Amino acid sequence: MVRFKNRYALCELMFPGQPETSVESHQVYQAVKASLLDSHGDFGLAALQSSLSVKYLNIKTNIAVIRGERRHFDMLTSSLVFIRKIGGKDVVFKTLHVGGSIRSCQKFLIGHHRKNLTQIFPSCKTPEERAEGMKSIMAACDTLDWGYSVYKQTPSQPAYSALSMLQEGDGDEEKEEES
Amino acid sequence: MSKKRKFQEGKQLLPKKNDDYGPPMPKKKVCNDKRVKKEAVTITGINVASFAEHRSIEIQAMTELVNDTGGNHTAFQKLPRHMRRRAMSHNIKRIPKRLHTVAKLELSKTKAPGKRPSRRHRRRPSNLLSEYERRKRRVGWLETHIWHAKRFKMIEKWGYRLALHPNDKSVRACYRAVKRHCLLQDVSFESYIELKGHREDILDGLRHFTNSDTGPTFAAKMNSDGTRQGCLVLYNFDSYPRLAIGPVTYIWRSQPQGPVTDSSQSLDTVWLSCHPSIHNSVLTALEKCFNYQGVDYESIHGSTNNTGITVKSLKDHLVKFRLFGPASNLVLAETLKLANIETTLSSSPAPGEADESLHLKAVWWKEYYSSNANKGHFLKQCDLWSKISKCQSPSEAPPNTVLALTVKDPRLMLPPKRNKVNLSSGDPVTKSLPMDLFKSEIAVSPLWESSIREEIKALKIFEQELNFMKNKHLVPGTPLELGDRESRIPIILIQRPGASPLVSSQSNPCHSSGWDLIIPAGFGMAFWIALVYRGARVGGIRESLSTNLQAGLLSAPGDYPDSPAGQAELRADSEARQAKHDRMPPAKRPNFVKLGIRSPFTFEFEELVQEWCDKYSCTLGFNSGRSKNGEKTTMSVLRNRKMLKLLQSALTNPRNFFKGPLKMKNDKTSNSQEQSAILGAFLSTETGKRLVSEELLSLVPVRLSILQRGVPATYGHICQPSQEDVQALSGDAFYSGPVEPKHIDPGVAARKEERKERLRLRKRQKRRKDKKAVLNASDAPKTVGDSDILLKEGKSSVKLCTKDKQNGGEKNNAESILGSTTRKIIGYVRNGDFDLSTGRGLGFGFCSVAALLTLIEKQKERKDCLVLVRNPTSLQYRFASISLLA
Repeated sequence: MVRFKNRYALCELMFPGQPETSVESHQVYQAVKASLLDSHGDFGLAALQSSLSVKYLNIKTNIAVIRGERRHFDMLTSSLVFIRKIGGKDVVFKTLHVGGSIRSCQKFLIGHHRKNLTQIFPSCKTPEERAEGMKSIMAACDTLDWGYSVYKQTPSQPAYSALSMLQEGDGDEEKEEES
Repeated sequence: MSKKRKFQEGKQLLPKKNDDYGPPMPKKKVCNDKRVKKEAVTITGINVASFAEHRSIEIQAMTELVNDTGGNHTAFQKLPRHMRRRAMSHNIKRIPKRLHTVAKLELSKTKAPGKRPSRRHRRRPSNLLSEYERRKRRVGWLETHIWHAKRFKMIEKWGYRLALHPNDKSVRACYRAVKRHCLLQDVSFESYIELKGHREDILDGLRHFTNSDTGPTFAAKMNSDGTRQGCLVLYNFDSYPRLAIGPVTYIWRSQPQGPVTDSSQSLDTVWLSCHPSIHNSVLTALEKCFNYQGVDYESIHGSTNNTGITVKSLKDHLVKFRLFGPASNLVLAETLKLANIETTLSSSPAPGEADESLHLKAVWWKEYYSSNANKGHFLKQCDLWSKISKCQSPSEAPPNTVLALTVKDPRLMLPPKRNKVNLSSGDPVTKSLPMDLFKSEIAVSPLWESSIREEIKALKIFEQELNFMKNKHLVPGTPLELGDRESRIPIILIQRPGASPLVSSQSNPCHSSGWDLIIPAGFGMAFWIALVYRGARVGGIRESLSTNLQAGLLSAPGDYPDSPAGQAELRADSEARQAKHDRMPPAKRPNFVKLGIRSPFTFEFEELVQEWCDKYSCTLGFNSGRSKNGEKTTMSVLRNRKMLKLLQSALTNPRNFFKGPLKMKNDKTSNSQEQSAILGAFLSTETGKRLVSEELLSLVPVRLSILQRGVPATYGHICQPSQEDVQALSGDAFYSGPVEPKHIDPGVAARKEERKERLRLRKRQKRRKDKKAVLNASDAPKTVGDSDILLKEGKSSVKLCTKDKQNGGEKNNAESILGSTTRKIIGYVRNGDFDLSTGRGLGFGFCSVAALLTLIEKQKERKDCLVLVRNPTSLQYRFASISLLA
């Protein structure tokens, strides 16, 4: 059997000048659909409509995962660029990663956030902020439990690094369970 | 799929969580700084803490999702495809090194089954034997175990693994074998106990376990010279008539020399044979009696008994085969060829000559038969055996005769093929066996000596060696001549008279008569194969039980309900039946409340006996203090010979019995006169009444022959017919019996209500389930919880229901037994079957003595006593004639 192949776009939604904006996933969906129709016409919409879906949306970090058919996925990515408004709010889509599975997107996201977290830490001004930031970084590292090795990985290969680190992490976790 | 769903759930849940985080602040992403600047949007500010926090939470969630590979995976299964290697689970070195520790842990958790040796290795004789030894350790095996295990249903019973019944269709075939040919059973589990000492001392000790009321005791003259086997019921130390242990048979060692100067010879030996279920209790009781050195012993019975009586268990020292049926004589005659005990001076040149010279010195039989007395005994035994083996039936020999023989190894004369010995081949003339042949010499056997038994076992030629010699034999098929090397095997044959004298008048006489064959351990299979090759059909426990039922014999231990072993047997049986009943769907179970059966799986002997006793003492005007005492004591079974004889004569012909005194002149025998005289005492005078009253609290075994249709079943009721029933039967010979009206089950309404409720709950549950399937996943947990509650509700209601049932049962039990049915219950059926010889139902049960006396009184005018029998699953009563069995 031939498998129906999809691609997943991991996007960051940026709302310039509008703090604490939140959108619903169906609003995102409608916006993408409209943009598709605009930029690729009826053919573009028809080619992708059946497979189009917003698989994940985190309104706090404004990260979304959008699914589309693999053959016509470039139409989707190109139309994402032209989205200017979602639910009456200004928005810019930044595609972080395109993956073949949700899992690969998740793996990328872990690496991406980790990289950013380390970058944001120096910008903490007050000691409280520093403490809070440190705390969340530590929390994130705890779950991964591969703290130090994070920094060894080259940022150019986030997906691979996440995988390999994960395998090491598995072993350690199980050890802990044993003890 | 599950991964995706979780992922979506994460999406749903994450926003909710975030509500609690810090005050709403304007935020910007650091990584976008450049771009934002390009677009000339002013950065209002960023809350680094909350920014970091949200991302940290997302990292955690993502990690969790990525880590969850779904299902249970071992360490190496989590590896990416390209790192997988063939047979990783087999060889830990194929797993990446950093995963070794994890993999090792996982391996240690799963227990490897270990490599099973190949069949070829397992079947190698030495390995097979060691495997058998291992399996024998928990439960005992008889010597013929492997033979049986291939052909029989085996069950674990009485500490042995025993054959229950053949795997082929064989009920009728076994009946025919008992009736016309020969049925064989391995009863080696009936173990022997040896008592050795001075006869007076032994008798003195054994006196405490028996009572002369029950018949001849160990001291009986008939058995004392060792030519007859005796049989009696043992009771606990001085506790007759209560606390029975069980039935035993015994033989005294025959020592015809009489005045012998040797002091060791003056010691007497007696072998007690008992069922394995009572073996231990008998042994401990005897040991306590004879070897106990404590103060109590001295105070009880002086000190004389304490002199050198040894009690020894001969478990696994002897093998015992039981043959039933008329052809058992012939089968034995073919199998047992008398040994040559003459020492041949010119020993035949057998292959192992060096061995032979060794044997010549120490072979037991040369030594034993060197004395002329022993040789003389042997010649007499041979003479007698040649006469007996020509008889048409084992019943022609005197009952319980003990006959010792020394025979050849039966493996040497094995017929090439299994065939059936022909009954008609023997000469038709029945030679009478003169009684003077049966003297104490015929029972003299070297088998009694343990040293000889051991030597025989040691000198046995191995099967393999024998086969080799057969192979090298010049003329194949002809018997091997081994000369002195061949084993001479001492055996003991004990005649069994078969059907008990009380029932032999009804069925054919001497049904199931036969021989018991006792041989030294080690030769079991040799004799077994030889007997089977002569056409003996082999039966198991089931066959022996049915044979005993037909012959009117009690089978240990189940038919001795007053002994602990018997009670254990009955309990196990009732538990098995109860379990089977509970396994059935409710609609297929009989409603015993409606059928009016109080206890469908137990015998309520105590209650029954008590109620009848109270009733009987009321009618006769006895003081009821007796019955109050009786409550404390346990139930007993009547074994008083005199009482049984009286009851039997009254039961089998009540009219004659009661008219006895008038007809005295007609009856010539003084016996009946005596009986009638005793009868007079028994029902009229005060002393007689007292005698009766002592036995009122006991049970008596009875045999039931159904008159028309029906087969009695275990736990059925034996009831007293009313006058109308008897009249109806005398009016119409085909009257099949009264019918018990359906009883009212008080629990029906409640049960129906519960059932309705249960169905309603189930429906609701189902509806919820369907709904749940339709609804989206968001409120799934809620529905799950609901259904859980529903389930719990349903279960609790079921529990309530069962509780009610139990309560109902208890209520029922509160009623009296006698009032529970329209015909008064006088006893219970222990066992029942279709009697193939008469073509009618046959049963065996226990009745209350008081109830029987009432029955006799009511049916004074009849020729025979009638009772009604009702099975636990039926409302129909069946007429049956009743007689005693003891």
